[in-house]
Amino acid sequence: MTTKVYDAIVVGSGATGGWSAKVMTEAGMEVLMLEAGEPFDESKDYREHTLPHDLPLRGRPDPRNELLQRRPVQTYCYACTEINADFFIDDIDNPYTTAPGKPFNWIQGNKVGGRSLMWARQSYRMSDYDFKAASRDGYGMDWPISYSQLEPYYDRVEEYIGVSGKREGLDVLPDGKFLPPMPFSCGEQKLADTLKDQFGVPMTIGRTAVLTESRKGRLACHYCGPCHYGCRTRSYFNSPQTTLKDCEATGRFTLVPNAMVEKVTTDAENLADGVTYFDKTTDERHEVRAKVVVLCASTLASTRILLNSADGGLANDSDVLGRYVMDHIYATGVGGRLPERDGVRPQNANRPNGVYVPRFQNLADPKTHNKDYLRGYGYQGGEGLTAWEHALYLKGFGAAFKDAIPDGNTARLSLGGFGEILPRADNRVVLDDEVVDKWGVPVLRMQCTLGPNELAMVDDMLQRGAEFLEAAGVKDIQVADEPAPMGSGIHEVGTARMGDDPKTSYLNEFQQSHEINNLFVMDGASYVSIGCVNPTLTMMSLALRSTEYLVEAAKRGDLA
Amino acid sequence: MSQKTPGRSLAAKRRRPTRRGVLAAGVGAAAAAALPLQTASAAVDWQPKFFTPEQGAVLQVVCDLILPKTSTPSATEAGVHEYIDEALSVAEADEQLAFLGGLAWLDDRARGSSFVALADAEQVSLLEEISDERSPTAETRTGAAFFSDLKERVLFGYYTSKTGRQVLGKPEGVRREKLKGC
Repeated sequence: MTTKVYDAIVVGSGATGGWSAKVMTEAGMEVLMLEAGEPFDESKDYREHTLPHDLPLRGRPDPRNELLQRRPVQTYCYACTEINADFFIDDIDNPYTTAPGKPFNWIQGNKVGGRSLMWARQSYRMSDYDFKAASRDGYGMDWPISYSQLEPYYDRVEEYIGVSGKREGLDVLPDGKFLPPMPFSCGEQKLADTLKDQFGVPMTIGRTAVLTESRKGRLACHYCGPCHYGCRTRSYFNSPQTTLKDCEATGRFTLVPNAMVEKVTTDAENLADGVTYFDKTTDERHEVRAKVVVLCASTLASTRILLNSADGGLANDSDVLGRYVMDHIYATGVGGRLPERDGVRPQNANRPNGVYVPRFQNLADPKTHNKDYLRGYGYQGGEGLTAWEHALYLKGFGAAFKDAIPDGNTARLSLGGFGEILPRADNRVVLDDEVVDKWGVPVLRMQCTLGPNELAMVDDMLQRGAEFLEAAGVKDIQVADEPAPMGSGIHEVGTARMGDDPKTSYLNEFQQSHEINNLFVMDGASYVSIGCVNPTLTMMSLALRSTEYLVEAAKRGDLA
Repeated sequence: MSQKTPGRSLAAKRRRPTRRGVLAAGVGAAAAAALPLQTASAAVDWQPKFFTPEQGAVLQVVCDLILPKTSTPSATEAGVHEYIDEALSVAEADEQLAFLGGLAWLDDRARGSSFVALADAEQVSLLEEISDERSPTAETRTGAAFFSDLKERVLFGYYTSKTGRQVLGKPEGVRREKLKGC
């Protein structure tokens, strides 16, 4: 029996893998998709309408829950709870190590769809402030593409996934093809007016991959709240309910779950000829063959596969692989009470979206220049109204106490910074010399920290944020000044960066290996710099652009 | 966060129907039916998982002292005591001990009687001694820590219950077409 040779193998079924496989299968190619996670079943796995009293401890951590006990890292993420812990990877079976003094949170998916099942859905375009950042301030490397080259792909991805948002006409945050925006609450409107009038800083409603109008078998959001538990009305974008369905419809798509890829294999001519993987249900090792290999396993998982594929890493003459890890500065910000909104009962409590203040530092206008740091940050936040939690701060007990609760609601405005982390060669991941996973495969060792540019940015983020809130009438302002360990933003990117020069980059502008023509890395590993906006929309747009190039190159015979 | 106080007299808090006899004597359903509160059947039938029946009886009284029946249901009508029993049953040992210590403190302060056997007004004034409206003294420190822990559990248990969600106007199955905005 001869081994079947697929036209392409796609490793990973998340946001980027779904796009790549969709483009290839619709172009007539036969695609094998390998996913390390479990199968996904919409009817069983989605539990968004679970209510607190459906759970024995009403959603508080339950020591009897083994899924949670096995996820000491994953539970760092707000979205990983008793309801959906199985969406997140088992930390015990899938370890990684960190260098001393360099903590790292690696949050990973555990089902078909990967992290697209529980992502935060914020969808912003990068601009040439990001793609050409090095030309502007001299640090690092430009991307090999400009905004105008990616713009048509952003358009197509947004139209397909559905992004609600408001057009603002800003250079730093290009507008997209938006569905109707969600509204501000009154406290947010006050903040937006204050920022505009007193500081000349725009604020907009979050741009989010949640439908505000029904389309093609997906219903408009019904505002039940916790998208990260799933959505049976398919109102937010994820791959299993969209791109993967398109793949299946072609009849040219084979999806294998529980398939954890070990390495990319190469032939005598140093072309990729397939991958090896472990079936996580049987622990058996398998080999599969294809004419093209596309890694979409997520930035660090793809990097681990490449590092395990050859001594020193496959196709790594540049020594770039595993270096330049970036994420967003995360968990620093400001918040406080907005007394004028006291007593207001929640109206928009289940809006699955916040507000966005786009980067307003180090732009073309000299007034925005900052001498303490390069690049910049945006704020994500909004107004929160207590439902009953204010009762914890009301004194006393009894009937009068109870009667005061319904009118005691308090409002809080908060702004959390998302700051650009600069690419640094020594922020890297390597293979651990000693530790292997359950299947005997060497694990990653993370060696990443924030640098002086990031810390200077945090100071400004807090100072400006407090000024903004104070001007809007916010009292008792509290500051979160401790940035989370790298990885915590769950925007890790950059370990196989693109570039025109094979000496300083791993991939070309089409996310294709400089050294192996039929090897592509179409996830966040390809990032050159991270900017300060959430990365998934850009990742999907890049994967669409690169896969269309791949299809044409394959037709011409250029990948053999 | 808010530090507002209800701003009403303590006397208002003392108005509360009695169910002390039921809890103390464990009388039958016929007597319970005559009482104004719906908690009676729970008091009789409830088999706590973590607490002893006696501790469970004290728990029910203090839950309803914190959130009594008003125009909205009481804590025990919302099953708060059952939630607290469940939560304590899987809590760390020191957390369990602290809570049991608090219940025992109440009985201890009943001076020869038991907390549930005290008259309503006496129960209220004992709870007032440890309430967060007062600064704890050396004598009330244990009780005050217990009050604060208990109050948090009662509020959380109440507003995450089916009943509590209805009180908040969040009954099951309600979805919205549109957000209201400003």
